[in-house]
Amino acid sequence: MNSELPALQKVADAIIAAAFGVDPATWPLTELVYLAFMGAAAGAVFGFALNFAGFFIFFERRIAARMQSRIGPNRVGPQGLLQFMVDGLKCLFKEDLVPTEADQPLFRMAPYFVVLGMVLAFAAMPFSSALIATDINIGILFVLGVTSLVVIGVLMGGWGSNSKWALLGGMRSAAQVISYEIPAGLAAMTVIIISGSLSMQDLIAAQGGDGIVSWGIFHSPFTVAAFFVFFVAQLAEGNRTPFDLPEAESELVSGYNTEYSGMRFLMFFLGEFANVWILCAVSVALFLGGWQIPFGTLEDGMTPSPWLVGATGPLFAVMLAGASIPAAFIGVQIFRYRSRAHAAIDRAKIPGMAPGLTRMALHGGLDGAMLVHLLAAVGLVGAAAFQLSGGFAETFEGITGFAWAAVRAPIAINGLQFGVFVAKTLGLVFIVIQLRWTLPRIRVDQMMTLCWKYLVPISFACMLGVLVWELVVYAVPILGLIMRVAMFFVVVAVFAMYVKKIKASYDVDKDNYENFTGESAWHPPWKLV
Amino acid sequence: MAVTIKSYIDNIKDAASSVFEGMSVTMSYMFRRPSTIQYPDRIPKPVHEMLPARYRGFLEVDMDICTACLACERACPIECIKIDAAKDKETRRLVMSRFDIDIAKCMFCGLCSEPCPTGAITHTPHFEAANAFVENLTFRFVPQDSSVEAFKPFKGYDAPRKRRGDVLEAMGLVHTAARTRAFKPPPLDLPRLPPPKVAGVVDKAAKFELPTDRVSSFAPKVIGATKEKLAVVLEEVMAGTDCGTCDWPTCKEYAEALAFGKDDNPHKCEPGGVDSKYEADVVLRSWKAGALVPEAKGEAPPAAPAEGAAPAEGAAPAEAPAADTPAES
Repeated sequence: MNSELPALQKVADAIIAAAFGVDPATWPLTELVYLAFMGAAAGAVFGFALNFAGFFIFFERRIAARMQSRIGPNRVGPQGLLQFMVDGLKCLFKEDLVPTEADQPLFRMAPYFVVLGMVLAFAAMPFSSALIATDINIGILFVLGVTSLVVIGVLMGGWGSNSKWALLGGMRSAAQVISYEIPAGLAAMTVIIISGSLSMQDLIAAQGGDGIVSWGIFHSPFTVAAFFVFFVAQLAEGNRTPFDLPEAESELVSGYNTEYSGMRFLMFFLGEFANVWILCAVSVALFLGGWQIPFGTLEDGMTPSPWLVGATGPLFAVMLAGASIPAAFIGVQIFRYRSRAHAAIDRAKIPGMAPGLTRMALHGGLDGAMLVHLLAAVGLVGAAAFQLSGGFAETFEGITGFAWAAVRAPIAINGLQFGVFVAKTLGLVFIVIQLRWTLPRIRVDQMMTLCWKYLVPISFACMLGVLVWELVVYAVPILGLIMRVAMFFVVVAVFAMYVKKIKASYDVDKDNYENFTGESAWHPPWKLV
Repeated sequence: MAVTIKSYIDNIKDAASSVFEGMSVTMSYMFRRPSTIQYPDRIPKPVHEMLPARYRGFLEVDMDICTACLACERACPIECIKIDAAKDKETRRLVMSRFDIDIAKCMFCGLCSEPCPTGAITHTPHFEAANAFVENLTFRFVPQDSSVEAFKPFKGYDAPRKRRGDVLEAMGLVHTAARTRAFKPPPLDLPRLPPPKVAGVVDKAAKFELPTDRVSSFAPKVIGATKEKLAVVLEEVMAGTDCGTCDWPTCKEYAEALAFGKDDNPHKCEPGGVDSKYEADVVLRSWKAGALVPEAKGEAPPAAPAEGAAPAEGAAPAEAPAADTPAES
């Protein structure tokens, strides 16, 4: 197999070879399968962006609530998980207002630019070694470039609204994003120097090899500083607090989106929240090892290390067993409320040609759905057990002729990488949310001071430092590993200090609280309310 | 303010340490119990049991110890308490025929419960007044069409003021009373309940004197008309505010009642004033007579007897005068 091919194509080739038993290079329908893969990849990326933006709103509201001793939305759906759908629906049904004095074309176009910039950035987002819509060789440059497209949308909205608040917000956004691109680019240069490539996959692949210490952030003190510079600069580019000057509620009503309502407002917000994912994912890809599994070695999704190959069987069993949980849940829920639902169907006024027939179909559908879900749950658990016992792949291939064993390992490995990447990114997303509820908004002059007097010089120093350190490591290779391990322990020490500080702030109020209310103050986030 | 190397590095250290400090504080809140009470449905006990003892919610009156002294009515700054008390001529005792508190108006200031000599009027811890019908929020402590004898302190009665604690002790009953008052089922017939009779309105209608120097502009339209047409014209005559002063829910119903003989007093439209009363009176009498009644000018004061006599012959109005009505108008 050609090693120059993109990873996604390799997976497609493997599936073609396994499913149809033909050579993908000569098979005439190969292009069609590729096209289907591309469509699926685009849909998956867009769907992921939108769903993430939705869930992000929910997570942010819940976390913000807990940080303010509140509970947050917990009524719509289990634990309020469907709140974002209700909010989105509300926005969809609202009137799409365009102010009379607004510049109509600009005003209408602006949200599309914001969403476009966001979705384009997702095109080069490496979710795993194979899961990347397109691994272009200037990946990071592309991401940093199209993310700036968002600012054009913001500026268009700000100007087109013909409102002083919107205009001020748009201008602030432009000034901010243009300023902060410089430290962001310079900080990104450190890891680009280390890996010698602009491709996202190459950047991540360069952070593998020695487990967790090969991550970009642990390279030297300069990359640690560069990570923080990059993260802060990305925060500012994503218009997140403490840099949310473009939509400063206390000064500019709502900034550039003051005049927007309904669908267009929703698009602005989706773009903004998906941008949070982008800023965290890029930071993870550059500095925190991307999809590299912390304690495994994995340079290529197609040739994983042996222990991972051995782990795929149990991994699949776990996935199958996990898939049975929602099925079992739905089945049990229907069973619990079955009699009530039947009674409701009997009571319901059904319009139409044959209400009796409809009623019968509904009764049958209810019981059928319950049976299907319960049977599916049992079947999935059985399949998991079968998988663990080792007979699944052969039986499956015997029935369908699909060479399951050949593609099983890459799919399982990529699933694992995807999970690792998402987990790392969500960790950073949590910090972004936490920062929003920790820091007050800074002034415009402070923002400019921070950028030009602090971040730009520091990122320059980091770049030069990494250059020098690379020369040193080239001369004495062992120093590189020593420095990496040392940096790892420095970061671990800082984290330990953080945990200690959290405990200290918790203990300060604990006794007062317990004396006053008579109940325990301990209520960690996993104890849902 | 010169920037030295030291101040530059100090600034960085300050920024880093303050963010670090701040994040540890916010993070520690993730592990503390949220203080939200999930009102109204996910709380261990009803909210009114968690409220402080001196909470000022709905007003409640213990009619057994109310002396009808009207101190609360006088104390109320927004006049949401209405008490009708009078001496019963036979028993010579003070009797209340009405004790209404309009909770929708009440601002829960507590000024009414201060001067009460026996502590009959008190606040309860109930506050949930959301209601589909605002009339339900007029709490009536004397049932309609009945009366309650006022409490008369006997000699040496030291009138211990009821304290909040006492009320809370006897709360079982009081609570239920207050709640059932606020949440009694809404009236099923959708036209609104007739508002409480305000003393004096009926008297005003009786005292009304028809003006003698006017000409009705509506009367010609009803000569020889059907009862339905009469009702339409009468409704035009009304003020159209649906105020309910006439004891009918809407102007339309009052007009129909007049036209079909269910009501015999055409002088009840207060918002319309003299105009409406005069027009309704003349229109009705013209229709009954089957002709214009210009002599209304002369015999205005004894309007009622004329009406009383009219129905017998007016039941079937003559068709003949119908032709000349357009000419006259």
